[in-house]
Amino acid sequence: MIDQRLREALSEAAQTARLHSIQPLRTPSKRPRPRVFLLVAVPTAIAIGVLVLVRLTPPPMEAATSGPPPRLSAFLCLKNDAFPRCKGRREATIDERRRIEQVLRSLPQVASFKFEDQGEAYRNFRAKIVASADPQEREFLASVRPEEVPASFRVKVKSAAGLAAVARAVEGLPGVANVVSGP
Amino acid sequence: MEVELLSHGEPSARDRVDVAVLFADHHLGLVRLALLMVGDLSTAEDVVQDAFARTHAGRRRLRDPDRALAYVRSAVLNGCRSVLRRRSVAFRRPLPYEAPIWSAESAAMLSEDRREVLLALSGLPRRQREAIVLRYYFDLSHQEIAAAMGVGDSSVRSAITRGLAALGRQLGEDT
Repeated sequence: MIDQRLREALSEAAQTARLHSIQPLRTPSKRPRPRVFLLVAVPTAIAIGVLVLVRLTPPPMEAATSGPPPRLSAFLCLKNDAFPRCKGRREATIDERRRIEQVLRSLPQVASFKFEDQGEAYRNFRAKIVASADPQEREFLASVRPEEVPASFRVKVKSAAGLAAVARAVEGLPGVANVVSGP
Repeated sequence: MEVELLSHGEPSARDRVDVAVLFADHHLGLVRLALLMVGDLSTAEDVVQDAFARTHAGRRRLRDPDRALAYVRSAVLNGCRSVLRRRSVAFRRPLPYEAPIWSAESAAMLSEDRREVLLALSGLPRRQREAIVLRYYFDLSHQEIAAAMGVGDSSVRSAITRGLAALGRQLGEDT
């Protein structure tokens, strides 16, 4: 009879699942419902927290950073300078230099700065760069004339974090050709 | 775990359905039901675990303690239907699953005759297959089968009759 065969087949197949061989059932873990107000409240709280922190944290002290203070140099425009900022204009004037000094003094990130005029720049150039160059390059570098070496502001910044801010502030000023980090 | 049920003025502990206990009591039977439906044990276990999780999540909607078992059975049957439906389209993306118990590759060693019966059963339309398993494995009454499958009494009767006739034809018996 078909129903007898069916019964036997079903029960035999079912017997292959035994209680000790099957995994126990687990209560589903409770999934927290999304709380809409948290979606607004949490980012707001974080934003306020960050704002307060940023406002209240004093600018990091130089002592806190290990190693020498980071430096950057802002080079001034020359006569017929190739830098795009100096295109179509004359050499940086005294007034522009004053303005740059003023800005550097006002920036809290600046530890100290020094103006290096063209004569001094040329002497440094000869002493440091030309002297340490390869013999082949030396000939070319020695042909650089004093009026082709730009004057610059050599700036010491209190911490590496302030480097970008100082660079941004100085870069856009009239008379500045370019800003590079390093001495 | 425990559910308040509509008590109709009869205050008693009987009116509470503990879904976890219900499942624990019927776990093996439900896994076997799912096994006969989907053919492999690990999928069967998954189906029952899923049905348990769903029933547990919706336990507040489970009002009638007398119908709780039927509810749970239909939850498992529903899970099996989903699995089979998914498999029927799944061959776009090969899903690894165990060879069904009715195939010769199965680790469960069944005799040729048993496999033949189960294979024929697996080829029946869904409603006939479900009704036959509930009838001949669980020995449920027509009313209980109807409750678990969510269909009427008469549908169950005709599904079983037709299913048996089809099996008889396939297995070369005269019934």
